[in-house]
Amino acid sequence: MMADTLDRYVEKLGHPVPVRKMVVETGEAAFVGDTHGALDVSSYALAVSRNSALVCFVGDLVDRGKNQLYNLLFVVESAIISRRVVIVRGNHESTLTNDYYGFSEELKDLGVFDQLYPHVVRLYGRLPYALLLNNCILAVHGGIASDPSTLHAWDSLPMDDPEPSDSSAFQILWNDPREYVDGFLPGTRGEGTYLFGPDAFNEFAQKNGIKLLIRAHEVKKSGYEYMFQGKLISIFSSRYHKGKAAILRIGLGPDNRQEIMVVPDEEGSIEWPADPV
Amino acid sequence: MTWFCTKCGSQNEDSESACVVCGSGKISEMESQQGVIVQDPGTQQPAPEPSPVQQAPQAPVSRPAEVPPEESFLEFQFVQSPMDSLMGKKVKVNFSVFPSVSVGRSPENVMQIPDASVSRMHAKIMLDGGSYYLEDVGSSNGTFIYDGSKFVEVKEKTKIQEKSLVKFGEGTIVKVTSVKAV
Repeated sequence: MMADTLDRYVEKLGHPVPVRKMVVETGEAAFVGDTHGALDVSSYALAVSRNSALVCFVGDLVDRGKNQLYNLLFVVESAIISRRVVIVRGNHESTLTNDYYGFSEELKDLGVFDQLYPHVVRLYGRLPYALLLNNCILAVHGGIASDPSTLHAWDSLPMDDPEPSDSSAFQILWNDPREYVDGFLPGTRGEGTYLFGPDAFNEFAQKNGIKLLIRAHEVKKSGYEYMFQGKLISIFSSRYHKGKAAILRIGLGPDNRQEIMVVPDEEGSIEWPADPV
Repeated sequence: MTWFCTKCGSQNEDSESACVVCGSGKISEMESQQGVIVQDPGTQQPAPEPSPVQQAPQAPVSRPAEVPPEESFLEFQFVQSPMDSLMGKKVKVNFSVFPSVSVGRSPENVMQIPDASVSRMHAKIMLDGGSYYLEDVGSSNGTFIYDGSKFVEVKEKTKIQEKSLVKFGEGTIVKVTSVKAV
């Protein structure tokens, strides 16, 4: 039953693409960062995005939090129901992390690990590494890779890679931006991860026509942080690390107006039908 | 024969008259046996100021307002730290008073680094003959210098200069942003 949900999404995704491209010229798009099993945040994000033309979950649906499997299934079912819901792969959609950060354990506690995990891993391998919206807004979980430096080359990244073991794909899921780093510097998250500075970012953005990079991956106390003169935003959507959970909304008109919504802590905070717009 | 500092516990060579880690004066054996803490007036130095990390950026470590510009210093910038609030912060460490400063997690260090992967006594930085050197003092997770493509573990006294990138333990990277040796 649960495997069926995952399989249907794999089928719906069809031939896997490393960079999913979408053009949506009006309305607004919502971006959700790491939820880590925060089913409440995912529900909230979708409920308040009823009028959004696009809702993108920027990875890390599992590991760490309370309802990892249910969070994954909920978002996947939502993505099956609506083409407007997109899932980008995070570093925790990986066989590298699930044994250490709780997802494998949760599946074992539920008695479904052996039966379900192969389907989960197959789905991981089909999730795109990036969403390119309107040719100028890029959403990735971690950041840019030291190589290759063109989005065009990202189109050739290998899929069905459960870790991923490809070093460029790995970097896209794991890298972090830093204001005071020159170029790329080996990061502190482990072998193969890098920190990238404003010069590396600006070069990439210019080369690929990127106006805004949306990424997640790092806990932010207020749920979000702008860097690189506002051209990069980190969004984090789980309270697991005691920070705030936030959601980013971007107008898709010419001005790309941005709005941060902090997920309220109290229950019953939105009326149904949810429409705070 | 080596001696142990009564203030920070560091081991020092007999030839040192003050602790190379915290700068406290050496106490003679007789006095320490009697449990009387009397610092040798000849080498007594002011206790190190609180961690430079907690001071305003740019502030010299030992004497915030008084360091004349001709004094020797190293200025670091935190480019990576487990503490968000430290990221981008600059710390100036004065080497004119003590030519050797300690780096580590515990508060008695001149340069205190809040990072669980950094050892209590982690490394020391020395000014010697107009150049600065970095040495690991037996840390658990190592001290590293960036060689342009990867961080290489510091096994022995290694020269550092402006633009050097140093990693302490697993989670802290500092960049040497400014250097003066007089």
